[in-house]
Formats: sequence, structure tokens, C-alpha cells
Amino acid sequence: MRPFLSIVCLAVGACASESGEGTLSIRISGEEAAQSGYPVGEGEDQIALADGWTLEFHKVIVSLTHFSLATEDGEDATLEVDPVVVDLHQGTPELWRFDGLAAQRWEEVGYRYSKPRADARVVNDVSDEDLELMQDEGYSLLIEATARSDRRDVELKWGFPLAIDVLHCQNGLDGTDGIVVRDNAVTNGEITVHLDHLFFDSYATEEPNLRFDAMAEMTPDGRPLMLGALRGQDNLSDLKSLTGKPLGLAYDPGSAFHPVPTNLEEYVIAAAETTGHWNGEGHCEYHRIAR
Amino acid sequence: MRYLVLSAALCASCTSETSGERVQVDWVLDQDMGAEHADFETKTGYRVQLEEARIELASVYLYAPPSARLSALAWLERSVVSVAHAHGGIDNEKGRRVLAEWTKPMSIDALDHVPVELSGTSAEGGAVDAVKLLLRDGVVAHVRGEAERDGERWRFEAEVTPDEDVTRAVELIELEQTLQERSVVHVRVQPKAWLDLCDFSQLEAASEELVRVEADNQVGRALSIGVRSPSAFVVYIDEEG
Repeated sequence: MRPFLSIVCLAVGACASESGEGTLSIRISGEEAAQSGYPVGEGEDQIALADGWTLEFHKVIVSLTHFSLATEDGEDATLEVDPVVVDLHQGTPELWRFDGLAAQRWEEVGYRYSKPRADARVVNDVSDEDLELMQDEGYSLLIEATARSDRRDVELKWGFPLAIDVLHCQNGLDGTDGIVVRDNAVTNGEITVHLDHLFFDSYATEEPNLRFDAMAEMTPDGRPLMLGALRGQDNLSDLKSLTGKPLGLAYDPGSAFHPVPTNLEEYVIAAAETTGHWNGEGHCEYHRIAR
Repeated sequence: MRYLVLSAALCASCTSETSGERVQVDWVLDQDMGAEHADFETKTGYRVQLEEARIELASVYLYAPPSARLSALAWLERSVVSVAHAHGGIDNEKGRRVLAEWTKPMSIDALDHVPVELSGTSAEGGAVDAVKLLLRDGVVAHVRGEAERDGERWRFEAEVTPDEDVTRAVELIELEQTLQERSVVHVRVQPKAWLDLCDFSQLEAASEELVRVEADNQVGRALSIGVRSPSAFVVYIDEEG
């Protein structure tokens, strides 16, 4: 710290950045699952679908248009953030690097899922065709995957028209609010996208199962399973086969979503709104915004 | 933007009179009998007539907005959008200020025509934006009635006991009301929401005999989800009593 600043800080008694400045590097990750699919992990830590399906992702494209840092006192870091589009299947790239930030705790970390803006920066190899699709349809999350069982393969192409502010994020590394930018160092922060949420069969328990059977039943012959087809599962307490035979399954939204979803498409879209986390398991709040 | 700022200023002024003060509030269970409580059609197309609908409530909490963390403007924004939770079991209200609470377990007859006035409680005045209702452990609801569709009838009864790992909390948001001296908190139960997704044809064959609903069939699963649905409750505040 420069002498002049030190003197001023001593005189005033409180400076926002009395510890100096640091750099914050923000990466994004869809965790191992975005690259390897499900099942993922080993032993007790393995995450697998309960009904025997496997999932292999080909694309997990996310569009983010804002990232913000503030203190609980309302001091805003006023970051210059360009909108980005990134494919998480291809890795965990850095999205932004902010230099000269006050080295302190920034309690309020937030970001926004929103459709790609015209000036969006493509971070890794996202095709013009996918970018155009997301812009035209308002998608901020686009997933392509193959689901496999011992009976058949199902191709998925799901576009999510999410416009969500992900706010008040807790740090998944230590459970504290936001992040501490360290003095004279590079601090890493990670936007972590939890893809397993898309397949949870319950939001009323801490340990839901991941399922695909009821989704697979909505697959049209010879064509990919689009998100809209899940609307056909219109009783979340009574999932059925394509021929109308009960599967003996229910999806339980609990009190997690408002309004309460009425079909499987609404349920999965509501679940997708909750995929954004901070530094691994850090929870945030999810606020729908006007698109 | 001007509208938002103005609204925020108005909001701040309208709540400041009572915010933080101790107030006395009353609690009333008053089922809205005009709103298809005992005789209704489910979303699955059954005409249902209820003879019994009782729910076991452990407590009710009314929460202040998390304004300590949010600016007035951000709070206003919060009030016009929906909020989702990341996982089941996450206590979204953890750490938030409880302004009023009812903590005596009670068994509510959802078919009762007569409002039940509970005793008053001491509370803190101010803006309320969320409610959490906690159902009791064990059996949370009793229901008995008759369902009919296409000339077939099922007489049924059920005791609803959610699995142990399932949250008993039912959360309602966007209340946007204010607690002040002599406010009355109304709690209503809407049993139609319990049964809306039941397909009685998946019970045993239709008959005049009473069928006891098991937890592991479709009707049992639908009931277990329905009684915990935010759609099954209405909580509102008559602000001036």
C-alpha cells in the first residue's frame, strides 16, 4: 500500500480496501458430469440415475450476461462484464478476470442466466448455429446428450429459456457469504452448474433420485427428445408410459418452485433455474426476471 | 425505473410506522366453504365429496423480508419475481427474522363451517413476505370421502404420512403484507389441492366398500405430495383486524 493511502486510512479509521488490492478470476464448470456424463464418481460418491439410464453430454452451452460483486453495505465493485457464451462440455474456462479489486470480503456475489446478447463473447467452441438458435429462441442453457439404457438410446436436445438472477451466493468452499479477494494475489471463483438438478425426482428431500424413465417415455419415434415433449407428462404424481400405462413414479416439487409446476416440462425448467451455484456446492437465491 | 424508486419510497414509508414495534395479533382458522372444499372436481376428472379432511399443523411462521441484506429497491424487485430453492431440505428462511409465530400444534378440520379463533400472540410489526407452515411428525392428514367418474364410485380413506426424509415445511412466498396492532392472521386449508392429482381408478375396483389408501399406490403418492403443496394453504393478513 502506498504511504499516502496508509496515512489517509489511519486518519479516517475505515477504508474499504485497507488491505490493498487483488485480482479475481472467474471460471465456470459443469463439474465432471458435463464432460463425462452420468454415472460420475466412484463408490459412495457416485452419482447415477436410479433407473439404470446413463447420460453422455455432447453440449452444455450456457449464456451469462452479468456478474456482480458487492459488499453487504452496498459498495458495488462496478465490474466491467461482457456477456459470454460457453460450452461446459469442453472444459472449465476462465470467463472474466478482474484486476484492482479491493482486497476484502465481497458478501454479495451474483450472476445472470439470460439469452445471448448480440455482443456476446464466445468463450470456447460454440457453433454459430447454436448461438443463433439460443438468440432466436431465448435460450440461456442448451443441452445435447445421449441417454442410454439396455433397451434403447434417446437423443436429447433441450433448450431452456431461462432469465434468472442468481443472487446472494454462499461460498461452497467454506459456507461464508460471497468471496474474499486476497491482497496482491489472484483469487479464483467458480460458477458451478449442477446438471443433476435436471433429473431430480424430488425437491422435498435432501437426497433425491435422478431419473430418466418418465422422460424417455415421451420420446417420439426416430427423433430427439425435445423439452416440450415432457409436457405430455401432465400429472407429476402419476407418470405414464407413451401408451398411458402408469410407471408407478411421482415427481415431488415440494415448496421449491413458485408457481407449482403442473407438468414435467415446467418441472424440469424450474429445476434448471436452480442449477447455478458458487464455488462448488454454494447455494444461491434464484429470481426470475422479465425476458 | 422512476416507478420502482417511488414505490420503494412509499413502501418504506408505509411499513415504518409499525416496523420493529411489539404488536398483538390474532389468529383465525376460517375455511372458505364457498371455494369447493367438500365437493369439487379434481384435475384428474373425478367428482369428490369429502366427509373428513383434517390436517395436523405443528407451527406457522411469518417472516420479514431479508431487507438487512437487500436494498429497498432490491427488495421491491424480489417482491415481483418468483424465487426457487436449489434443493429440498434447504431452509430458505434460515436466519431470517420471524415477526409472528404460532407454535401450538393443532389439528385443523378443513371442512369446519365455523371460523376458529385462536388466542392472540405477541408479534413484531412490519412487512411480511413469506410464511412457513410446519406439519407435524407422523400422520399429517386424514381424509375420507367418495370419488366418482363415469358412473363408477370409490369410497376411500387415508392417513397421510410422508416419508421420514421428506420435509414437513410448506413455504408460501410473495405475501407482501404488513403486521400491525390487532392484525388478524388467517390460515386456510384447501383440501382440493390434496386430491387434485389422484387417479382413483388405480385403487382396487370401484365398489361401495371403503378402501384404505396405501402409501405406495398412485393415490397415496398424490396425497402425500398434495397435502404438502403450497396450493393446499392460504395465509393472509387482515392488516387492520
